[in-house]
Amino acid sequence: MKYLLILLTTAVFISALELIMVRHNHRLLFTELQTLQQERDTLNEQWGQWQLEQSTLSQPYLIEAAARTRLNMFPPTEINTIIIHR
Amino acid sequence: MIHLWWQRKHSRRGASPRRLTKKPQPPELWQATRLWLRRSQTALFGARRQWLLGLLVVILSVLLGRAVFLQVIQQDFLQKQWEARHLRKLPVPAHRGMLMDRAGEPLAISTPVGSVWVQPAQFITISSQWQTLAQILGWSLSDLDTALAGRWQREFVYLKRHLSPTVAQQVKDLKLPGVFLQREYRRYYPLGEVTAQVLGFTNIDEVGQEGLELALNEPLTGKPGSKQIVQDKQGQIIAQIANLQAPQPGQNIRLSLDRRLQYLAYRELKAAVLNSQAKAGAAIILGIPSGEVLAMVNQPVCNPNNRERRHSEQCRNRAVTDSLEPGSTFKPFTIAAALESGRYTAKTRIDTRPGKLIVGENQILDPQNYGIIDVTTVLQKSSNVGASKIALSLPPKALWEMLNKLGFGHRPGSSFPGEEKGLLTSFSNWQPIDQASLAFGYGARVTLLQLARAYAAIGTQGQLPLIRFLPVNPDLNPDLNPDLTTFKKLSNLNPGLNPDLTTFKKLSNLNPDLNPDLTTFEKLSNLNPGLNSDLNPDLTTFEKLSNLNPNLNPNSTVMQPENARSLLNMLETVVKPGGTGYLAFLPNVRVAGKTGTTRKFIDGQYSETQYLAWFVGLVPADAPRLVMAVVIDEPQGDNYYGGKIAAPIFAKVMSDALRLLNRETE
Repeated sequence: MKYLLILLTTAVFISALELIMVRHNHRLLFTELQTLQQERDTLNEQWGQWQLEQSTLSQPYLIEAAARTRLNMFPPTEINTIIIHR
Repeated sequence: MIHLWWQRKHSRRGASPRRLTKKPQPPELWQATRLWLRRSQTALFGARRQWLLGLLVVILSVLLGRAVFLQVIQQDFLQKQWEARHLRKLPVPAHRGMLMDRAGEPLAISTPVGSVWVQPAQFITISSQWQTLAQILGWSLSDLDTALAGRWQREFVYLKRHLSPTVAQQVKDLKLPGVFLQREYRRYYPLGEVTAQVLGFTNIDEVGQEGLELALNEPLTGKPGSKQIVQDKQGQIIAQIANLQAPQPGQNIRLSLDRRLQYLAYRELKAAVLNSQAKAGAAIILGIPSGEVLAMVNQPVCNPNNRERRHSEQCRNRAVTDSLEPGSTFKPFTIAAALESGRYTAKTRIDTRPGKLIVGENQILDPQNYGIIDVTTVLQKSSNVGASKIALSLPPKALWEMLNKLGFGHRPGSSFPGEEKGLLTSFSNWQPIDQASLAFGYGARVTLLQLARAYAAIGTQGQLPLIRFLPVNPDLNPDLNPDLTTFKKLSNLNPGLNPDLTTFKKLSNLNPDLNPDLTTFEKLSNLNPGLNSDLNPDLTTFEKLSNLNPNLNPNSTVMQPENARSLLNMLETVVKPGGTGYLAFLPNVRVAGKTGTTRKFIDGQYSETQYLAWFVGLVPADAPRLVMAVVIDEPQGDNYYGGKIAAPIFAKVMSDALRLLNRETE
């Protein structure tokens, strides 16, 4: 009986300490989670902006304008097109 | 403890003499002091001590009682009070899914922006800083006053929404009390007006308002999550306790549109509308046999990125919402009905002499007397007399059934908001003149989408395709989500790299210079598209596929394959020299098509000056893959014919489109 009491008391103390540890760890991990989530959000944000940037810059009009004016290109006409029939 | 001490105190009286005798004698002075002390304790202040102790016990128990009362009995109430004051559940916004073209290129992206809001009660205390804030927002102090006028009693007032990231950062760096930034998402359309009407747009809260944004609103919308935070009396967030629910971003949706074809169609339509000083125009490219909408453009346009300058009139998707009289583009369907009746073939001869036909009190005219011609030539020359004669020789029901089966008078069932069903009157009410004029496209009203779809049926051996805005095979390029390694690569490569934020500004301003035709460049900037404003887009109608007329099966057979084949061959002659659509001719590719020029019905009579110019064509004619329908509304000048205005648009777009698509298949 006496031993059981001692055992249980010790167990209560240990679990109390453990609880403190777990809580502390939880807090640490939660902070980390938040940091990571924030990082993810920032990265997503940036990715979205880059996507927007990329699709804006790669829109057909800009490509065509660059090809025509800057590179002096033009679409192939009938004369310089050879169709190969298989 | 108290109990032990009490015992000891009482036992000490009796025990002390014994202890004194046993213990070694301390120095005299010390002993005297001790004696005095003991005497004073026991004899002089005994009662007072009892009182004091009693008092302490009472105070202690009061405190204990109070603690128990608060901690146990009132715990729930107090906890709730604290939660009500400091615990907040904040929504975590979920962004709206992307809209992409069929290759996965973004057409509509939601990107986070900051919105500034203030708590007026606190904001009023920092009036010295107002000037700085207003300056960052690009405002004057009076603008600030107007924004807050009449709102000083509120808890939450938006100052300015959807700031660009740079401005948002500047506001954040000010760290003004009572000024907060809220993260919101804003929708951007990288192609701007090229995709304006077909995509539609969202309102400031990212809810789809028109076009595909409205039709696909549900899957595109994310589910906002929530988080629990602790805030202090000033409303500043102290700590975040828990993530209650993670936000679920909306689905990214790949559309059937091809942004290169979309651009080609946009470019040529815009140039044509400008050159002919037309009121409006629309063009559609459908894929055959899938019925996928590859391009859908309209003129005039609006810029979906500029919320202030979006007029619904310009943002209306005319190709789907406006029904018009189709004119001669209807003739192939009259011929189709004739072929289906079995009484006609492509070679059947029709007497169109003397170039006019009198039906009742009305007279049907051809531009010239074509003589006795076969059915093919009726199409090639677009003879009204020939088409009318064919129609009148058929039972009304046969003609009506053909048109009905082709989807005229029904919504095409694409689930595009505001889809119009056009007009096809019932054959039971037809007079001979109704039947005759229907043969060349008067008396019915169709949308461009319906017309393109019906022509697609000619290209698919008589199968009327279902109109789709989503690709038939959506798994073309499934992996569109950025994987983490790419992120790391990017950030390792150039950690200080920031996206060029000027794009935000560029997109927000109307950019009319989206035309490669350098000669019309100047005209473009002076574009004034708002001409008629009597029509409003139907925002509420969202006809789902299930609401389709049950008689109209998707992919239903509308004509025999051999008749479709024969019709296609006839339509090919239209685009050859001698045909009305010869400007749609393409070298090296077989083209089938039909022109149309309709007099507009205005104020109860057919106008002599206002026309619709049509062209619908299929390429390649031997095995059609694309059908394109074009209509120009009220072209000015002498060249108002469909063959002169609409057909060249088709040729220009298709020559490039085929080049693009061929390259893709090789």
